[in-house]
Amino acid sequence: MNSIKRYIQYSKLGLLAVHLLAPSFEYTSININELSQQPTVFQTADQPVTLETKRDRILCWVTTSPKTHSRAQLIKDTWGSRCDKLIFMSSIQDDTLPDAIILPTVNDTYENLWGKTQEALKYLYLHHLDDAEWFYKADDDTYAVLENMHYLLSGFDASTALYLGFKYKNPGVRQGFMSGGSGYVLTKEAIRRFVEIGLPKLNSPQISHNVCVSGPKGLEDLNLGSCLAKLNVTAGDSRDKSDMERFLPMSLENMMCGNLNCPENDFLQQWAFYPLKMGIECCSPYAVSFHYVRDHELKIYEYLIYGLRMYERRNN
Amino acid sequence: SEELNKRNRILCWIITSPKTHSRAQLIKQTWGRRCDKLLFMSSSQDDTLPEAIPLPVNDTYANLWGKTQEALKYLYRHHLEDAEWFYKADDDTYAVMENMRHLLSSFNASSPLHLGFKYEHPKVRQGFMSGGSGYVLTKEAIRRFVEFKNNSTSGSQCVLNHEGAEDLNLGICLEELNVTAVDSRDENKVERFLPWSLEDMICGHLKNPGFWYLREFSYFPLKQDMNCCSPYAVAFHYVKDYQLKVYEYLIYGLR
Repeated sequence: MNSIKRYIQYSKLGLLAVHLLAPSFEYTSININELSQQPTVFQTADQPVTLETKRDRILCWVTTSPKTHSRAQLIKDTWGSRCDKLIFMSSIQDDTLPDAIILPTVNDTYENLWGKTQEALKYLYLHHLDDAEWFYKADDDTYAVLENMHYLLSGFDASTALYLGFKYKNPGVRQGFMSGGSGYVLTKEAIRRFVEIGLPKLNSPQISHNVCVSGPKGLEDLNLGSCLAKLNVTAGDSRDKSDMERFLPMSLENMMCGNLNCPENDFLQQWAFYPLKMGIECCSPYAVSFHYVRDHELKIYEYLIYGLRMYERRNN
Repeated sequence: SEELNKRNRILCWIITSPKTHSRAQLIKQTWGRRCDKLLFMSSSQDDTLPEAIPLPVNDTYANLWGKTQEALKYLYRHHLEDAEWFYKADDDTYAVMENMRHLLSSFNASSPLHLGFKYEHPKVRQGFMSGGSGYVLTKEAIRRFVEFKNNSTSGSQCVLNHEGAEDLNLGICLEELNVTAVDSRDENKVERFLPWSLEDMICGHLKNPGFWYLREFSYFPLKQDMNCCSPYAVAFHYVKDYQLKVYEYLIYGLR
């Protein structure tokens, strides 16, 4: 059954690749669901017009694995419910997560994370490209603040080829690449380019010059960043007006570390694309995602961020 | 509102010890600065915490009751005029002072009162306050305790040597002194002082069953999961070291 599905998927991909070689304007059109929700949005054949108040949709895809399906449920109970669409990608379905999307052919190990990401992006391309303007990838130990994410994204153009996250520098990728850990956001166009142009070459061994690193192994975030850079997808700057980071790649305890010696932070300081502040100034008031928030901590963050209220809140 | 603050000043006194003076520093940098006055009660001063008030006690958990008595004596002698309310916390407590002020504003500061997370116990009919998430005493409550100490009568259950459970003993003594142990829950009967880690408060019923047994002794029925904890919570316990900064960021920093 799986192999039949796979065959169909690949042949669909082949057909699409043939039909959509030119830059596609299809994805700037407004689909029928949007029209029914927002009747005052007009579209002519030439120029789609969008209201400024139209809110871009965010599809969240969370990578999980059978060992951590319980975390996926906790995400559903907390921040995941604020995504316009929420998808879990795993390697099997089970009682804990009956709606997991199974990606084909990938062993669920850390070494194969790059392979898993390719499959995930292919899956989104085939089934969900019209469901949102932005596609946010997170791990199952990530906590995201969707309101702040909407605020961040409203400052960017969803129709461009763009991706956002916590940026690392790397000698091989001049524009930098986004950390996989705190998650990253891709536009429709970024995914389209990756699948239509970046990927087919991966599976064509006769073409010696690959746009993207082939095979399932390798550093997922670095490989994606390198690939997207070659496809002219811009790696944007997601910091706030005070140059504070919004995607936070280390646990908050480590980010707050300040003057004590936290060994992980040397790595961060050295490889962060933009100069990084530590201590209480590390992290934007408009932060969009926290990493290494595990299991029940997800509920703690949910309570502290959305549950707790303040009387007479003073400005710091 | 400024007038309200003047008549309802909160003095926070933190129980710390030389081994954990660094936590005291973190409290100074985070929620401690929202107290009208902040004091650290320890057994010695050092470079990490030069302003620590050295109490004449051995700094062990067994002597916590002795330390508390010394601290209350100290407050009585030197600080009774500095505030209307006296909030005791551990150095792994995180308090939300705005919510505390709001809670206290509905009580009379001149009465003898004791506020916190209430436990039941056969020796204390009105219940006693958990030491962990901290408790608040009025001036009158402290006055009665310290002056009683000087003139204790026979037949009293209030034991004043250094050993014993600090919170239980204090509760027993205060009940004898007619200090009222109030109900500090919010309008929906949800607790505001949270004596266990947030993880245990929210998910404790899912974890080891041995832990859940402690809940049998809470004075009021406890709610589970996300309903456990008031939106107007005033104090969290077991917030250690850099977690204090994380809470500070999540509560005050994040918009």
